[in-house]
Amino acid sequence: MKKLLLLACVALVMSACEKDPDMGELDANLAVYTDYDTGADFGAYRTYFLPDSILEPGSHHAYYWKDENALAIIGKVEAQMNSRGYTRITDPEKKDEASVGVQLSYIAQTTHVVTGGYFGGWWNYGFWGPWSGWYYPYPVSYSYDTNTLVMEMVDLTASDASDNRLPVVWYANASGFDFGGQYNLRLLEDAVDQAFEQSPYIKAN
Amino acid sequence: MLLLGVSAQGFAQWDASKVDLKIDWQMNAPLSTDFADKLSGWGMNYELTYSITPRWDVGVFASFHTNHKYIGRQTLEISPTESLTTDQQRSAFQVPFGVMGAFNLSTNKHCQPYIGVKAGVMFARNTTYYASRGLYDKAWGFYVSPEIGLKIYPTGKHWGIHVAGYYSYATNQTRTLTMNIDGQSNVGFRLGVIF
Repeated sequence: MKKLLLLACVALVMSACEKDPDMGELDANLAVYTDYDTGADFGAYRTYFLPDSILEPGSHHAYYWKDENALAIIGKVEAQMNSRGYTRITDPEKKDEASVGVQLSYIAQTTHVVTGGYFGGWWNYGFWGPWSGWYYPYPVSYSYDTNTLVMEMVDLTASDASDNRLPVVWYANASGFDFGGQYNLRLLEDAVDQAFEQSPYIKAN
Repeated sequence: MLLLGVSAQGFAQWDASKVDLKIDWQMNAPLSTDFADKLSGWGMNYELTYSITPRWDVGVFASFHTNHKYIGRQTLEISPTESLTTDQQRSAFQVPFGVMGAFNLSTNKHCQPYIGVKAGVMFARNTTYYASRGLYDKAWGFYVSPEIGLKIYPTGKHWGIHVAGYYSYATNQTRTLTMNIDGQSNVGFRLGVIF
């Protein structure tokens, strides 16, 4: 009896100390972060220029995302800016007349992980009996996809920029797991709405 | 020589039957931090004690515990100009260890209630998971924990059942996504086996 109890307790001692939380409890929505320049007068801006493509930075070349999915995201930004009292300038020849420029960038990333024969996986310790854990006698790999949408508002009226660079007066990013397809597009569109919702200071007088 | 003599005498008086090993499962709830203050049973406690008299036990201990708390999606003002909208899965991991002493309120052969205190250091790591990310901070602090309990020996001194309730306080200071934690309190109870 005493030995059985001791063996059971040794199994508990050998089990992992820290319990991982249930990550499945987190929702699929993107985390939306915003920041702004307190010196910017958002009320004074009247017009904005918004390109009809989204920049995709690459390791060697940048690409421009222009299909109907990109246009859907751009349309969301346009609708939000218009609802705040700004007017879009669509003619690239006249973009110098805009108060602000709004640029969108999208970064998709796949992370590959190769384990060293151990993977702290999904099954709880103890499920398969009083073992201290499990291991793979061979390397196991898995990967996951993440994506980030960056929105930046650049002040085109900053004539006193001494170093010839334009100040970014509003910055937003929405990041999280990439689920692909129309579902992911909807998450990106929702993130655009959320970025503006938590930025009430973006409003023309 | 005197020291050697005292040590030799102490060794001569050593009695292995006075050594107890306690292995406990524990339920623990952090208090007052508002970080992951939700009761959980993901923890263990280990004690190795020696009865220096029928009333007094001294020894060493180590334990670990994890508490989680899910926070629904909300907009957090993380600075005067920065906002973050997300849900969170918070995880608080604590590992205290050190020395302990206990006073037996009874020397009954089958049932011994006791009061005790543990003191030592604690490692704490508080992690906030959100979207595809995780932020954590870890810190060491001093630890103290008063305890009341009961040792039950159904067949005499061969093995027993251990039940205890405790409060603990540690001085760990950690920063999380939304708050600074300065000191951590816990309450809980333990159920285990004595060898």
